[in-house]
Amino acid sequence: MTDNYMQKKCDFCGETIPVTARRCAYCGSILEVVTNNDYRLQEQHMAQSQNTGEQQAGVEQDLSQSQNTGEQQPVVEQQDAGEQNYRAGSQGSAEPQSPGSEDGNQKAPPLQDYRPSAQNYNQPQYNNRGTEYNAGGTQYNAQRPYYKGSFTDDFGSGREPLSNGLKVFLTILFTVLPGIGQLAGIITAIVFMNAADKDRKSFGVALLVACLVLFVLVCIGCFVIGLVSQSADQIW
Amino acid sequence: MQYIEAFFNLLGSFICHQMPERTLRAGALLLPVCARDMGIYTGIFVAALFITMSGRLKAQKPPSIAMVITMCLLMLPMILDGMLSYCGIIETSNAARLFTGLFFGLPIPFLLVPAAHFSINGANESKVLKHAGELIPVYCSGIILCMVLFWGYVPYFLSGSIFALGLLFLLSRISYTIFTRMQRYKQGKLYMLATAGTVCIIIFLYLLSQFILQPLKRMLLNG
Repeated sequence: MTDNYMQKKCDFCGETIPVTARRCAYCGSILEVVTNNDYRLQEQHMAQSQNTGEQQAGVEQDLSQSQNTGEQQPVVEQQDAGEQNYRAGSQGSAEPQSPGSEDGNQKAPPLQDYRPSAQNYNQPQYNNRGTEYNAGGTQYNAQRPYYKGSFTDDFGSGREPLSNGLKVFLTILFTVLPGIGQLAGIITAIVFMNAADKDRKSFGVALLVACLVLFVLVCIGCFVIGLVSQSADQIW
Repeated sequence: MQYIEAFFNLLGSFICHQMPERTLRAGALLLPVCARDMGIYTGIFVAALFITMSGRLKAQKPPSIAMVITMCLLMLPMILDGMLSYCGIIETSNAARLFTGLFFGLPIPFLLVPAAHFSINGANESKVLKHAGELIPVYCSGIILCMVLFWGYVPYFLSGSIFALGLLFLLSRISYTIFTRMQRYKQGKLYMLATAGTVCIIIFLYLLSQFILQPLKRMLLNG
């Protein structure tokens, strides 16, 4: 399996992108890069888990270590097995079989309902679109086993990320007003860069660079305006 | 000296109208750019010199919000002066153009440098300005330099060099910032690309000046 085939979800917009992407192709956000070493280590671990028939549980246990205490881990494993069976169409209503019980020698213990509950989900998690993240799923997403860092860490303060509409509105506002717009853009950018979450920081840097570049372009534009005003003075 | 003057004038023609009545003099020679542009590039030069000498060219953290608001408020007079004088509401002078331009140019390097190196994931511990007091000597030295320029005490070569270095810092830093933010290149390749980008911007400005701005200037002022 090569790097190009591995995919993850963008931290900001939730679209599926290659795991090695440094920037999201959909929203343009700068992403935390999973280095090859991290990726290889996890791939090796995944292969080992596969050999022992615990692939899904192994990968997700790694991810859950940063989120759960040791006492909570068995519950998570049960939830993982439950999710596998849920995806296989069991809907969790019948007694699901664990991966090691296919031969029928071992009888799987009854599993808890893995779906979200107030006990398993202490705080709501959101994706970039402001909708609840993983509603109807588990606390971590088996679709992206190489997700580096927990979702909460990536968004730091737990604040909802800026909507794309607001970003576009601010960018247009600070672009169309020459001079004053860029000044306001610089101040806004610095405010965002001092925020705790990555989404605002990323947008703040982009806004700062854009405003500074626009400042230079406005100064060159003033060349023409100065000429026009001078020629108007001569005419009048 | 003729070649140096021609070089500085050519560089100035990329970005400035070079109207004699709005341009300061160094002895018998007109400076390569108008008073406002001279103020802007003097500000950029002084701030860039401070950042370079204090070893903060790779600073990550921008100034605090209060400092940025203060600096942006100091940038406002040039915008107002330019807009109101272009509209014919107020009559401005070369001294006003020079000093408002200085206050406009000084903050730019303090914002451009961290814009390149600011890390979204990191702690950003190296600050471009450690405290607000550091701005005082920077602004004071800029004001003194502008006063000396205004009175014509600075030799032409030195004033032209201040302008050229300020412009070069601005263009190269913008190019470097854009390539750095792409996060695709390693350090060695990054410098090469930034240099190539700067050269491309200068060539673009040259073509813009030669084929659009200077003909427009001749048409508007002579016709």
